[in-house]
Amino acid sequence: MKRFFAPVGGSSDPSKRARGDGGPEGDAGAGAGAPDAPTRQPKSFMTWNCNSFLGRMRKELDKKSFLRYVEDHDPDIIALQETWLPAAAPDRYDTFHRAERVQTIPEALPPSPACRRPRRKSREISICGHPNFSLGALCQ
Amino acid sequence: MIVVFSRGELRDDTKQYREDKALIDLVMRQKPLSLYRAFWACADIKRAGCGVLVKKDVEAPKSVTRSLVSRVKKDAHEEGRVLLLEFSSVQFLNVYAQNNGWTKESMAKRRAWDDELRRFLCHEELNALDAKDGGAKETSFPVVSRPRRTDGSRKPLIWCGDLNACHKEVDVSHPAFFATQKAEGKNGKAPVELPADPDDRGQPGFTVNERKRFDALVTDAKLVDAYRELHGDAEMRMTWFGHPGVTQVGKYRGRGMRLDYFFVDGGDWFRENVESCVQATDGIPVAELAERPDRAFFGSDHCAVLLRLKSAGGGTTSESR
Repeated sequence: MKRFFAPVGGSSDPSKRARGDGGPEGDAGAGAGAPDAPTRQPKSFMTWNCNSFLGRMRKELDKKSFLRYVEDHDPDIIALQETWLPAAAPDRYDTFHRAERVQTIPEALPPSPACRRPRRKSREISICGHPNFSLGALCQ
Repeated sequence: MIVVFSRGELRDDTKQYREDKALIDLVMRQKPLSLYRAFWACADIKRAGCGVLVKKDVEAPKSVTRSLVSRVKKDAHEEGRVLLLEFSSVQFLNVYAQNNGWTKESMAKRRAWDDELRRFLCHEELNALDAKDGGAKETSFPVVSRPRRTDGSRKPLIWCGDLNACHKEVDVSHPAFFATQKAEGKNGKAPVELPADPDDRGQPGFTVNERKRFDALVTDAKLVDAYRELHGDAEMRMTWFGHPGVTQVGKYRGRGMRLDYFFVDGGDWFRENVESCVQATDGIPVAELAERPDRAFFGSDHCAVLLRLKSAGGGTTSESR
């Protein structure tokens, strides 16, 4: 099942992904068909249970020693366990509505720069996220 | 309502998760990790999970599978414990094994995990047994079988990861200590009961039952422990050490287990292909190991293990150093 929304933030910028991604992997045989695709076979392998990859990469010393080991030994493949990185969100109702707010509404209603921020903010707190739905309508 | 997680992608639907993901993306853009492509197998919640980073100048994997029992993408292991990458020359299996734990439930889960691994690793051997018995029990299970080459032979396997089990007695620092460990009660609660089967007692990872299953598994799958094959039964070659820092005098301090392995095809393939297998703790004095030095553990409780294959013989050019 496809996820409904594009992630917000720098990492979704395709131009940034092109330089060295942590981006999507295109699963089975990504780029395998390209004529200049590398054919070199993996020869060196490293395994490490990192006990939270995020935790390790947040600590300067841990990160430095890990990167130094990788640089020194230059393994073709690095296997990590206990990354503690949760899977992408399920396609839940609230996720869907947030996506609708962020993506479709600003397009339909291009606001002037001056009023953009407050308008979006007010939508964030509206009950069901629909622009035509207001608290006033509820009170009538 | 059906909830479907994309277990190959990192979560990014809240501010916190986006920040976490951005940090990982940032690290992946820095040298030397910018030379690698990441494949993740994530759990639905923030725990377990594994990943494999593949160098960009290496052939892109022909297939990426996140389950041992099904090739269907959505059937990825729900705790992200499996990542199987198939290359032209080898298949690479990274696992984070279920911990045996202290309770009946966790032990049952571990047995199911071992069974899954066995069905995958010894698929053919089990089928042969079934054929002898006249039944085809195992084949009815949707097994991901080990990939084959075009000539029909099984592709060599490199199986690594935190297997959460000690193969032999020499794979723990203090066998008598680990064999007699008991569950501790947490927060004033009474500890769980001792398991009825004495072979289920002791430190998870070192119980007799786990080691029996582990040994049967690798023997039947005709796999060898690359490190032991090259270094023999050398003592104090641990890849995991108990809590330093947290409790300076904790009971696990200075006690270690060997939980991280490279298992590869034995026999001719091993002789012709394996060059070296090194644990990052090699050569570090025992006294220092209790502190889990950063140069081997990088802040984790496990150290890194490295396996190197001989660069292609027979004149085939290879860019590897």
